[in-house]
Amino acid sequence: MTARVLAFLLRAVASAWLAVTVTFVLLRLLPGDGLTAQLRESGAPDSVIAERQAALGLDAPLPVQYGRYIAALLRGDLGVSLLNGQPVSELMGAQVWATVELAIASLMVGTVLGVGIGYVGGQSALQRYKVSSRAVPDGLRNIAGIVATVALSAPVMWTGTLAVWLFAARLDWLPAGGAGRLSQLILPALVLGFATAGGVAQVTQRALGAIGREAFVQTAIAKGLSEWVVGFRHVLRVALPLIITQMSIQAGFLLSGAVVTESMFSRPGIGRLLLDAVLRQDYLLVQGIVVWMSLVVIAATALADGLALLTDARLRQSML
Amino acid sequence: MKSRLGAISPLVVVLLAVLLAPIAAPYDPMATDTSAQFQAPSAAHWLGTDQFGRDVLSRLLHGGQRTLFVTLAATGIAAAVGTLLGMMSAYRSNETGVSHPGDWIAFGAGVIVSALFAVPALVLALALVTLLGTGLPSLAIATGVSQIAPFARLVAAAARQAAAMPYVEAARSLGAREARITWQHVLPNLLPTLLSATVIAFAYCLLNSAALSFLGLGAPPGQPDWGAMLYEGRQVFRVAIWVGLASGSAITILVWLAIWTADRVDFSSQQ
Repeated sequence: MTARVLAFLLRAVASAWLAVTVTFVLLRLLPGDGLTAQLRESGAPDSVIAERQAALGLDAPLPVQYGRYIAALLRGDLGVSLLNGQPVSELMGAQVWATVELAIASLMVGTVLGVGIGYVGGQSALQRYKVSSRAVPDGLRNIAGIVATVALSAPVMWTGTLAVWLFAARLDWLPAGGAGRLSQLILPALVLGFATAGGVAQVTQRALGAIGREAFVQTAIAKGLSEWVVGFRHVLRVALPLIITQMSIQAGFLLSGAVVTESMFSRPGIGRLLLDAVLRQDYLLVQGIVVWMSLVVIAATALADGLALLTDARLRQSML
Repeated sequence: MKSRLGAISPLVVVLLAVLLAPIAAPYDPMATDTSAQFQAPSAAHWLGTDQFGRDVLSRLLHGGQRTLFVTLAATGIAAAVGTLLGMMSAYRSNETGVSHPGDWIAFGAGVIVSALFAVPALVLALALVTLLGTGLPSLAIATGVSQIAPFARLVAAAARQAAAMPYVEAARSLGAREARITWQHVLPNLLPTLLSATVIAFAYCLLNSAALSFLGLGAPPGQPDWGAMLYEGRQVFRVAIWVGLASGSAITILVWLAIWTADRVDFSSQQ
């Protein structure tokens, strides 16, 4: 057990270090950056440019810069913006809650919708293994299948446009963008959550089919336990670790999707900040945000591993 | 082999059709006509017109070709580098106790894959665009590189499974060298996995390159492109929903077709 926990903590730390390193290396590969371009455009002489670069520590050899960067990161310092010298953590701090709010709301939408669709889709398998006797109407099953397929294939940009067209322009129920009020969170969360629901539904459906035929489920049915008890306590309970793992995989997708969603719904947030930094070639800010996002994803994965360990007795058993 | 060909052919036919589609375009995709702004779909303009009076159908057909070129280039990068890294990271020398140079290569390849995997795909692509600048070639490279890690993981998992097969044992006992076993015995047997992983990579490359293009990092403004058309559609959704509807549906259908194909290729390999 301790070995298992240590192993996945070690893995998380190693992944974090790798993500930091790959970001650092990638963004230092080519010369030419927003700062130099901006200063040159404003007619600043080379000496001024060199001075600014020295002030930011960009004139040091790469290994030295890398060492300084890692040391600063360990102190929780993500560096400064190349263009205005503001600390990255300050810039991000102003935006982070809008993204956290969107991510949590989307995750809730995606989980409820995904598990629901997957449960409906998995009913025919459960029926085959006699876990469930109620037949799901064909219509409902087809709708669940179509929704899962569209959720998996449709780009967020498209579902988002359709959603604002329907709910903001046609029905006039919800605002088309902005942030601050709860009503402005609903549409973006539905759109981003819908996109994550496809994967969750797929995993849920496959898990139900695979678990339904297992001996412990068949034993529970043979003992005469009610369908509800078998369905929830045996089947869904065992599917839980798989669903949690799938949700942690969605963490990276949520951050990627936040870039698109925030820009299309004119919301503030880390995704918008990242896009602006990319467009201005502020690679120090890009580096800070990418590193932060990777760390969030790695933390989410570690958290899911931990939760899977808590919810899946077989995993604990195998490590003892 | 026949069923695998059957599984992949609908996708290939559709891709060829999209590549050749500009021939069928009824209008010049760049021709503006201010008197024909925001026209709803009609007999003259099947999919309507946009804010500059340009024919949406013609832009869809021309844009599809451009979007597909970028996506196919990206898929090629992901598949080529992903196969190489995946095969290398799955390599295990049989010599116990002695550290073989091959083991170090495998370790290095595994580290690179893990590092790339730690950064979310679209975020990695955005970081690469910062480095490479905007434009279609950098879009293709950025999207392709961001799909290398998932591709390599699939290949590595399949290669490790294949390495335990009797034919590998047989080749080894005949005195074949490890490199020969890896590339000439294991790799050809991974064909269904590679095919299915390539189709999946294609789906994600399409979604991500369209997203980057939507964010304004792709083709120069005005050029038809599915992602850019979605952006235009988002701007004018109150008056002309059809502008974004067409390209969004096209992307969705193509991604769905790719996922469906990948499933079928996978199943035919299991039977």
